[in-house]
Amino acid sequence: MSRNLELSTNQKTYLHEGLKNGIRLSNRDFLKFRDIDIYLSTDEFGYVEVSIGNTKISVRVSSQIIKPYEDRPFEGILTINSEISSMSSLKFDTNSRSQEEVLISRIIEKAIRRSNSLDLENLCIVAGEKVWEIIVDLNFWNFDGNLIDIGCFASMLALSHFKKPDISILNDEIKIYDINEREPVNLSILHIPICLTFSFFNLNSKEMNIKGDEANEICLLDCDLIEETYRDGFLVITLNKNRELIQLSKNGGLPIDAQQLLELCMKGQSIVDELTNLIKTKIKENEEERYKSNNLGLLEATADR
Amino acid sequence: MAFQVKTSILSNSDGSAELIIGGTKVLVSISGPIEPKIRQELPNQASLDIIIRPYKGLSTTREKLLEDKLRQLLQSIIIRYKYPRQLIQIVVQFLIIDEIEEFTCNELNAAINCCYFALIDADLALYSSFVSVVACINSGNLLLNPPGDILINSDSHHVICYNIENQKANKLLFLESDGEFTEETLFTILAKTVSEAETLHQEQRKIIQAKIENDYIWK
Amino acid sequence: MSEAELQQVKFPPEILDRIAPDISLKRHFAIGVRPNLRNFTEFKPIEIANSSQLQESNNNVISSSIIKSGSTTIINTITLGIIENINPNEEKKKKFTTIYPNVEILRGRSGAPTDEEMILSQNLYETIYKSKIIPSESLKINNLGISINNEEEEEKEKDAKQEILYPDLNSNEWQYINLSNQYNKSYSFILLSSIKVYSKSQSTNSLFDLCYLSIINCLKNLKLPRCYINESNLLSTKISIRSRKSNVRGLINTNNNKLNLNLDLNRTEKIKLNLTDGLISSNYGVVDIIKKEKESESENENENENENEKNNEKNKLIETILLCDLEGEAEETSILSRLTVITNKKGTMNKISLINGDLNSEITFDILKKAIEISQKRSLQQGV
Repeated sequence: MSRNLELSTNQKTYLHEGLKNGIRLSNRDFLKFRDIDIYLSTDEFGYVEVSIGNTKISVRVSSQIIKPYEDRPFEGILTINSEISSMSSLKFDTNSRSQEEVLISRIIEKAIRRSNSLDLENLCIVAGEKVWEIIVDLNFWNFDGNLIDIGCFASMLALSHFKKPDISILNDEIKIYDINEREPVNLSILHIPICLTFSFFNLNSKEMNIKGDEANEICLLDCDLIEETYRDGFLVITLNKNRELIQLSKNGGLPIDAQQLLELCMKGQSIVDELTNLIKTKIKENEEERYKSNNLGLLEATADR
Repeated sequence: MAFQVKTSILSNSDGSAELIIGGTKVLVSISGPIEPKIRQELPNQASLDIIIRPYKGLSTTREKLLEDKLRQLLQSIIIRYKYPRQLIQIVVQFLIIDEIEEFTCNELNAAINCCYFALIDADLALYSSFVSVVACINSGNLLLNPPGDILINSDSHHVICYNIENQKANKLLFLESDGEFTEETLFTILAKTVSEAETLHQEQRKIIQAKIENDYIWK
Repeated sequence: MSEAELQQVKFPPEILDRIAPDISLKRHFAIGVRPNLRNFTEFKPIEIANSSQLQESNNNVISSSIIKSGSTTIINTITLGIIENINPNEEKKKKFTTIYPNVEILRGRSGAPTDEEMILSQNLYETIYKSKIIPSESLKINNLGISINNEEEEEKEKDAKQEILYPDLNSNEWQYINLSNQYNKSYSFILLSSIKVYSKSQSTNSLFDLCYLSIINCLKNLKLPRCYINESNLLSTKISIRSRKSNVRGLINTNNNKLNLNLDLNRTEKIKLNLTDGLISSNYGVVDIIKKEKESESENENENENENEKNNEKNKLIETILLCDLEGEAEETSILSRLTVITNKKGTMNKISLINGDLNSEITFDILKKAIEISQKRSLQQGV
């Protein structure tokens, strides 16, 4: 396996010709996600594995008690580690971070941490002294395009799946209950941001695109590795189910119609709803399974009405 | 203790394997032989680049020590002169672990066993098969593949790796013993783990046989 | 045959040692010596300095050790850190703790620690933890004192105005002290060991031995000081601050109560450790040497190279030998089957780390036994 993926001109033309005729190499629709395969751990909280096509990723959420930042005594801390190792692809070097890697980390960080999707004040235990730190570790196993969308999706899934141990405070002394002693508590998630990466392809010459009249650039959602290698530009839109726009990121590349931006936001909304529901149903299924396997029904105090 | 193995799961690596053994789950990917950086290049044999990533957080000196142990072991098993001026990169990613931070023996054991499957998946030349076992002495009793909570209170614990030739564990490749133990206990453990290693090797053979049968189906 | 005269290149031993360490090593063994002129099972002598000068002249150093072995000098100083035990559950789970070593090998370079230094430090850290030498309880700060400003005496003497009271020593006065919640926090010491290595020829394994010895030596005469907090810090003053995001106001404790170390040497207490006597770490390498039979050697002396080699093949007697205490570049790079053993006077072992890196010279069970035997003898003779 070589360090850099080098594709031939033939392959590029083949891809372009396909797109001209409205066909992707994978025979998917232009704005369709690949099928998402999800594994949620039933033994522990906050461990998920997600794969989409050949892109595979696992996310682990963990918690610990630390002292808060001096200037934010009421807030817990959310840390997201998204170092990409050379396991996922040889183009990511473990010792030095490439620009692409930094970009991916920044966008995921902005989508989740900066959008306040996790209620940090809820993580406070004793103001100014003890707070929970929630650590999200993303491990990219295999790279086949679209790390941003999957990274963000899997992180939100893992955060929804995670439960931190219950605590009680008595005279400044905190007691942390073991998971088997007391049912652990969910994090308070204010909203679920979903990233959508749209990749643009310019099938005409550069000049024709800039002059504008016949700029019929093609827009694909959820590109795989080959498509990502040949794209001429991309745009990341982060939305949530409440129809709020969280982040827009377009770093140069192919110029697109401003009108198209609005259209993409509108079109993206249905996909966002779909993915948010996927997270919710999967978490619910997982909880039911756990409920059954642990016989938690026996602990119910209220009668069925 | 049974191995649960999946091989060839990562399309961007030359060899990969995922192993669940006890409460530990680990993923190993191998790329190689590939072109090395100039400072890594050795004129007459392949150089090894081993990267260990912890199950949570960023890698620390704890992983550095594990990398060093794994490197010492693997460089005597891979026939390195077959790939001069080349690099073999091995990334070990722990996914689920079952021991506290100060202990690394379950992780080391899982990493060694998983590397075996990944090396075979990557078609790299090896001198021999190898298999690793963890043993601990807990209030006088010998326990193989102990879970993490027993490990903390154990008197001594040992990671033992044997080389397997002709289905026999005939050579001690690697031994890492800690805690407090006598010479007699050590040799009892060594004697007992030989048969365990041979049973595990039978399991390895089955897994590899199934893998090869599956790999050569024309789809 | 047109003979191009090929001049034989000769290298002095020290250069050959550098460019072809394996050949140099083989030649040394062929004549029965090691490059460092020691016998095969001879350890390098170790001198342990018997001085407490470092502790006495530096307030923050609570224990130290200086070890010399050949051209290598190791200076180990132990300092203290204090942490608040934030997570009570974890504290109960871990009955033993360890030391935090930071090994620096001074070779005239600067910058981030090398892999070798990191591996050594981590190895020492884990080894001390797993030998269960330091119980967590022994580093816990009990009987935390309170310094009180004695107002009456203030006029007489400025220095004597502070008095430190301890619950166990001043039980009479103690009952009048009003304790707040601040006092009830649990604190522990952590031991930080800074190890400086001045060396150029030691192998990593023997450096581990020396560093281990120096840590054990430091722990032997380690005394922990008492701690106190200032009376003024005990009052908990809480002020109300508004949160950034919501309008909720909360109370924040503004005291950063710092613990002070009482440096009075009469008040120090010896640390309670589970140390067994005679702990020592020994390292070995295993290598094949070719012994030529003496007769053939003299016969072949005058013959040419080719035949000489053929004859040697026949008379080759391969013997696997155990080398103690690896040293020097040749041994470091070409001996790959290695072994480290930590033994004590009780006859038990605390660590074995074995790697059979060289498939030709194997560490068999017999060799392992022999190495353990030598280590145990060494433990009785010179372990600390």
